[in-house]
Amino acid sequence: MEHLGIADHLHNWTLSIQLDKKEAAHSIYEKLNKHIVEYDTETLAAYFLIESRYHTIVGNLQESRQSLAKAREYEEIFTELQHYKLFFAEGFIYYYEKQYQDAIATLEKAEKYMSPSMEPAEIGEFHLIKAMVYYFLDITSLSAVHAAKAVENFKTLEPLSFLLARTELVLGMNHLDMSDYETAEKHLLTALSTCKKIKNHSLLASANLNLGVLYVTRGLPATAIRYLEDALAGKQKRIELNVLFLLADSYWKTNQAGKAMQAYSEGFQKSLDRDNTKTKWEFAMLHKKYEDRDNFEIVWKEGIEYFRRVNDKYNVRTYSKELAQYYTDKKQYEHATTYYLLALI
Amino acid sequence: MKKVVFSVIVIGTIIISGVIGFSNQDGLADKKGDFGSAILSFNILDK
Repeated sequence: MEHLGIADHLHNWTLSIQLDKKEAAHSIYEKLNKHIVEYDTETLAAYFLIESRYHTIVGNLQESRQSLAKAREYEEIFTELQHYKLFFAEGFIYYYEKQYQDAIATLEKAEKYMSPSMEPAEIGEFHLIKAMVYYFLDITSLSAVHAAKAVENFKTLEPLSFLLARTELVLGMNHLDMSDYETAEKHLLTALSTCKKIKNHSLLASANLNLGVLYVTRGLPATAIRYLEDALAGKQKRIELNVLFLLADSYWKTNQAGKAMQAYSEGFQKSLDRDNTKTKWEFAMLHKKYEDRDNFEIVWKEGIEYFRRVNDKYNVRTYSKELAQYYTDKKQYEHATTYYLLALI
Repeated sequence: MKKVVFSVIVIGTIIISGVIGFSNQDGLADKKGDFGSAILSFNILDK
């Protein structure tokens, strides 16, 4: 490969990655990777940062992290923009590893290197990922602030509808957290419509799942089922267990015990297969709630104890609140108080 | 209890990670919603 051509190849590689053209990106990756020993340090710094992003779009987060470690060897000669890209990529990986606190800390480092000269797409995606992290941190107000900033940047360019749809999903879920169901529904349906238009099946499944979450929360399980069944048909492993859980719950609530048992059994078995103890407890507790009431109390107490042990505060709050209500209805106020207090952690 | 930060929406960079009071890695919300796979680029089909 001609040394003079490397900058052009790196540029084309970046474009292929941004446009999600995986085959073209892979082809350029193979060409560039063969000549790595010929590159000077500036080229290597740029190469490893782009390589990290390439591994991200093909779903290899571990390899993406390794590329970042190699890029760090050249940190002393990084430009401001390269510093930004390093921290942004790290924050992005932390998000997908569900290490939200580390994600925020790293994205804050990236923010120091942001410049107004960056493209709207880059600025928008920074705010989008930050909005997504804050959503999962349960800090709705900041999630909404960053989602609004993302919209400002994405709405200027037609090709960014995909990212705009993702932002609409975040806005919808923020409004759901604030119990503003009508606005939540509006944003989620807009996202659904965009996903259909651009034929993005992965994000379409996410939009259907989120609408399912909305209608389950609103106490409309029959409506939720329609969207959750569509979400399941999208065959996205990433969200499969969440969809099966909500489907089982909605089927039981609409007196479709046969379908509920089917969704529960599939979800419970897949939790075992994937060694996912958290969802295994969630499915087990759901089953005791509807089918095996004799063991409801003991299993729910054990489940909440498990969530406490692994410090899963969200589930401790969620399940303790429901168990406290159960004891209140049975006029067992001492037990009720114990779980109401746990629901406040 | 739901964490809401009311007072820090100001202009410029806001360092939140050091001031929010629940930094435990495993103690965070694991909600049922989802915002898509690990692809953040814009989609060629939309051009």
